[in-house]
Amino acid sequence: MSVRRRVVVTGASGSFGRVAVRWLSSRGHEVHAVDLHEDPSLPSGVELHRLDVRKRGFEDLVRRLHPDALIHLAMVRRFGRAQAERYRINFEGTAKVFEVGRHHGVKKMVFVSRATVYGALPDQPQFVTEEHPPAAGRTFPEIQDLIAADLYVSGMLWRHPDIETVLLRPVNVLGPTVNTLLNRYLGRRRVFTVLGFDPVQQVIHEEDLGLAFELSLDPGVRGVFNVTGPGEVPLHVLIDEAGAAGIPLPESVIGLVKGRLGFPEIPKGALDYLKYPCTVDGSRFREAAGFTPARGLVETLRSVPRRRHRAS
Amino acid sequence: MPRRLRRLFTGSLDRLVDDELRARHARLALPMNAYGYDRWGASQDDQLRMMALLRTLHRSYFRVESTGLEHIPEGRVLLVGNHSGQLAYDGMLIATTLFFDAEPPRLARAMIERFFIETPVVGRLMTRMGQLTGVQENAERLLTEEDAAVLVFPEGQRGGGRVWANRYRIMGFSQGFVRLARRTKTPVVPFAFIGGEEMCPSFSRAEPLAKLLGTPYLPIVPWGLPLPAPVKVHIHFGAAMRFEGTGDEEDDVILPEVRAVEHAVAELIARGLSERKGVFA
Repeated sequence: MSVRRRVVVTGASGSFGRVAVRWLSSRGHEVHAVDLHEDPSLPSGVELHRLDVRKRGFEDLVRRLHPDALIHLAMVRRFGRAQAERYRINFEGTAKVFEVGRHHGVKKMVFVSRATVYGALPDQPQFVTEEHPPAAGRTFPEIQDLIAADLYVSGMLWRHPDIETVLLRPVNVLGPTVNTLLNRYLGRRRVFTVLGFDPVQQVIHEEDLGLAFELSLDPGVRGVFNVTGPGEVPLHVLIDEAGAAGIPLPESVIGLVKGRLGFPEIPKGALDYLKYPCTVDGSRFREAAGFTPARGLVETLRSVPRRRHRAS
Repeated sequence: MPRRLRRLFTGSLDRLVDDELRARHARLALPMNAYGYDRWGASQDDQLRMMALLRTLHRSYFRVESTGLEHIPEGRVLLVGNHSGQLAYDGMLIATTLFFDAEPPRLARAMIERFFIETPVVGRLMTRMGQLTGVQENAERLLTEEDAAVLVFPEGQRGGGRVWANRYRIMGFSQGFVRLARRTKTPVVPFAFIGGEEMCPSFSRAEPLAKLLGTPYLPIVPWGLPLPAPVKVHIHFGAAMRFEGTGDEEDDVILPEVRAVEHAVAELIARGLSERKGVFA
């Protein structure tokens, strides 16, 4: 690390938040964690501010701290909550955080979207670049709030060119601590797949996501970036490496059993990600920020906590 | 259980994979990862198994003969020709020709209809073989980043699903491939595929019925299922054609070049038809 920076991380008790706090504090940065919830795994030396980012206390904190950078990760990812509430937190909350940061002169703001915003569509090019529209809403309306937040943040780049806004769109994040839809899916003993489909997936290790956060803070880094890891493999390799058993079911049957018989409830649009690739081109971030994932493909795939250890 | 069945199936195919196949596949020098896949999802093992099956079709069933393979240059190339055969049997046999008969062997990467990608099992198999959704960006990336041999049928499904009355007639090339060739500085090798019309003739596209099934066309074949008859296949490759530019030129610049490639393919077809002794010989 070259310079010690004062960084505010929102959503710090969430799974990506913990990665950011752990990584940045271990690299010597002064990290201020913001979350509504307590986090027992908080590294020593990191202060937790129990605040709602949409309320007054957050603005007071930013005014008082004058942080060098703000990393906004306070997002709801689960689909259990009402859509209107998700929208308020994910879209309106993001807009609020960026407005507070801008008003109080924060010169570096980082937001983490997902490569999933591009959508898993059969007529989509493989390895889409950042120029591609985030088209997931065509078949997956449940993530419109994330797409809206993503587009709002990318709008910061022309509305406020003096602020270094960094919008990261990482591929599937795997690792021992993160709690993503894919991690939960792979953590099951038996997972269903869509019969006759086995799309290519891209993965990145959670520690490499931490590295991506750190590099985003470097002066001069601004823009929209896909963040890719060590490579691509078909879905069944992910399932095999996680020690789970894939059960291929016809799509029509999945519609009937999801949410029952031990099968997870997932939105219909999410099924497309089990049918078609949603793969991106990560070269822009590699060039602009000098990012190279440190974890290899095998190591990344085996980082998912296993329910059942493989025989080998 | 499905996994065990699958292993039984792949295991029996693996017994057909011999040194000839392995040696030729190694010469493709494909960038494969630790799990034996390339970044597009093509699988080395599945390619070997499939080629083991297709070798018999290529040599004994269709007895494919080709001329002009020497026109295929090293490095990136667009292979452009007439489409026929209802279910992309032509693409399959171009791929076997490039794999078994070309020196050095090449992997043909076809731009395929979205419809095939959406079809369970078929889409997966195509991906494992190295075939891709037919969008311009995929072709461009393969050419510029992997110097691939990309197979294009610019007639699209109009040619693939043609009826008997239109046999060996060019149904109009779309212009995208010339723009792609210009932009990526890729030579175009025209080819004629002879035998595709007779192996699986169709008398109607049955479009109203196809629409109900969600397919672009539904071939009505004399023997019912659209399976190919054992006709003899001839493939003729012509001299490489080169186009310089950005790919963003006006139509009046691009269209004459499209017509030139159409003309080259039509001439190769005419020559191929006059040279062959019969449909089965």
